[in-house]
Amino acid sequence: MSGALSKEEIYLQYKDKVFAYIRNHVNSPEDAEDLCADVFVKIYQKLDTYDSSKASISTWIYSVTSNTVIDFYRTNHIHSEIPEDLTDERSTVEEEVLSQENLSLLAKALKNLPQEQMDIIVLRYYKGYTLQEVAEIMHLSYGVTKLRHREALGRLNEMLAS
Amino acid sequence: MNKLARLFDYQKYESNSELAEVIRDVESRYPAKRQALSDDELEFVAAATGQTDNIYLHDDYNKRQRDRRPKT
Repeated sequence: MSGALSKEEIYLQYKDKVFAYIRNHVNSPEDAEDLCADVFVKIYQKLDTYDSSKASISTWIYSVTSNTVIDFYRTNHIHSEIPEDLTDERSTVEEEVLSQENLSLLAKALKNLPQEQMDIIVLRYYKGYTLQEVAEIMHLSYGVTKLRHREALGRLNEMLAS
Repeated sequence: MNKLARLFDYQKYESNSELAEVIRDVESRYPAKRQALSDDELEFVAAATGQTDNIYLHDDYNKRQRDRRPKT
């Protein structure tokens, strides 16, 4: 059980967050509204299975929301358009990885990268551009962008692992 | 790097102020491409310019939102 929060409180606290996230991934406002309603129906149905020892309620709601968006793309046979950050694998590691603390660590690690590498990572993984698009946006050659991207990933791996 | 992609996706849900600052900094250097307005945005623009037909559209939109709110 969620413990402290009632269904009504969950809705009031998370509806804006859930809707904003969905709007970020789905172009049509009407689809986004439908998906938002679907998410809360699922949350209410599964609330009894929520285990607070495994994840915060917020992270759990994020998982339900992100899986609902993936299902939307699958059901509508637009598999190829699933954003790359929403991979097919319904992540099982996210409860450990997804936390404010890790977001702060990522921010600090990004600040330690050379600006060009930081820009590539944000444009690639947050904005969702392909490396080819990143190269065009940054007025770099594709080869250089690919190289800097690889270097940035290597540095981030080291910094985030330490 | 799936972990990195997931963290950035999580940021879209659970905004972290430090990371948001980094993202804003990067975005300021690369202004977004101009995008077409969505239907909702067009409704608001039409309403703002005084087209009364769109007031009804807007009411419908609000009603739809209320109807879609799941019952607790």
